[in-house]
Amino acid sequence: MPEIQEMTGFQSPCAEYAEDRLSLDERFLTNPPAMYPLRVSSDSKLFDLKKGDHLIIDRSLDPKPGELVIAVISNEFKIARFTIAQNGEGYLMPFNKKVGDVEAEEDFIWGVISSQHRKFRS
Amino acid sequence: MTIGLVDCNSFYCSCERVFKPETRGRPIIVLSNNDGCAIAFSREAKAIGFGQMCEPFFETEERIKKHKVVVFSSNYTLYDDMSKRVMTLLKNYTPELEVYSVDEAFLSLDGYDHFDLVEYGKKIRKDILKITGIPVGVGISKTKVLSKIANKLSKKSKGVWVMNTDKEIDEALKNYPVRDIWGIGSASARKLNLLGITTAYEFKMYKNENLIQKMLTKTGREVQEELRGVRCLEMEEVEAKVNIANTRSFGKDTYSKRELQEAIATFATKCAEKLRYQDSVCYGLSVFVHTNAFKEIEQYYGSGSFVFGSGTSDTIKIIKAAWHVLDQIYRPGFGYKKGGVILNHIVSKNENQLNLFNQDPSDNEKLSNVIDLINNRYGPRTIKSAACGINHAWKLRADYITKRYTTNWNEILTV
Repeated sequence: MPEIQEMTGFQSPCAEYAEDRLSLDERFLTNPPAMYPLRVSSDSKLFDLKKGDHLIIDRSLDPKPGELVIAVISNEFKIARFTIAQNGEGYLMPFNKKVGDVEAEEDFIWGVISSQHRKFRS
Repeated sequence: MTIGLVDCNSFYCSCERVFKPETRGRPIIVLSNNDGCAIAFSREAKAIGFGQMCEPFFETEERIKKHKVVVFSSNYTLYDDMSKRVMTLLKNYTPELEVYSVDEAFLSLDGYDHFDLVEYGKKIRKDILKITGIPVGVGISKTKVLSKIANKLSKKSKGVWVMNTDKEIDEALKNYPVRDIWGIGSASARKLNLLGITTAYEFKMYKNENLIQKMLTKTGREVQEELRGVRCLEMEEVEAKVNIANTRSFGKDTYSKRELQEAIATFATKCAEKLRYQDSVCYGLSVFVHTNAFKEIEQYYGSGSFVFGSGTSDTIKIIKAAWHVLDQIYRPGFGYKKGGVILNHIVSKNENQLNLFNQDPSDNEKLSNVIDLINNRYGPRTIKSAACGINHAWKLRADYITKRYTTNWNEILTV
């Protein structure tokens, strides 16, 4: 891999203004030990997703109403929209399932989808 | 003075369950390298009689069928990443973390005494479970030995146990068998039993300290002091590895030298990668191969070592040296079942003293670094020395292995 040769002689006038190049990790992997990548396996009009999209899941977040989440419903990973019913309980739409407890082997929210990434060329 | 011990429940099984939620509530066992025997058991598996370390897998087939036990080959890549996640998160709850093993860590909680420690323990447990999916037990007390005991007790009380007053501690110790104390082996426990000591409380109160010192040496005395709430075992810094080893059982008995050479070269390659990863060099290595100790055949155990003129982390040099040792220890006619490479005399690269009279111009450090770079980008062992071979006949069995969900783009979860 050819590297640009370092300048000898006078120091570059830009050097003292140098900043680190933009990092996608810094932007999208904001809490690494809590984040997991996931791949979408089929198109979904409802959630505006295409087959092959990558989703980044942040398990440290509490979902807000209307946000997309990865939920385990009947022991399968599903994409769902989190809503809060009038009685204050959390629901997973469109499955209309109540958010339960992982340890009680109920349906539960595995993590909040924090970003969606689509590649146009592989 | 407060110290916490957090330990992951049935760690390997719990890691698998994170990505296989359908296994919740079902018994899980995880098999050793090469699928030889069970090494980890979920709570449900223990309840139906599993739990005996290294019970041969084939002897358990009937029970597995009957109770619909879920069986996994060990997926160490996944467990390692999940362990790192847990440990990184735990750093949020303490200024000082000592990672004691893959699934447990001590947390210094000095100065946290004004916190409600039960609530703090509950928060740790709740957060780790939510973020990693792994249930943990939290034990909090005055010393390491006491926090270990508190951790054991946490299993029976929703995952958190705090004992900080003398009354709480003594009550717990009175029901705690001396043989279950951390640092007291079965031999020491028997000696204490001879003195009439059966519970941790009796050990704590035993007055003849000189006798304890004589019978159980300094370690035993320190444990006794720790039971009394006097801290003897301090938090320890985790250092760079002093030895790096890669050893494996082979999938089948291996007779040919060619196959052994491939295996040894692969082990050596992995060791060298780890060595460069921690910016170190090694001055020596040893290699061993041996036959299957569980079979009634003629046994052979061969081992030997090699010393380098100067420190190296060069894969090719390390393979050459390992093969040189293998040449000396290989005896034809034996069916080899296990082998390994161990690098020793490891120092940081900066401390590596070049040998004045024996400067080694053949060290391919740059080449090795480029290989690491490519392998990091395109996947492990995209480029490797041809010495490692292509078809690994000796390769491990792993019939029930799950995906590397967190370290390989081709194996992530899909939904």
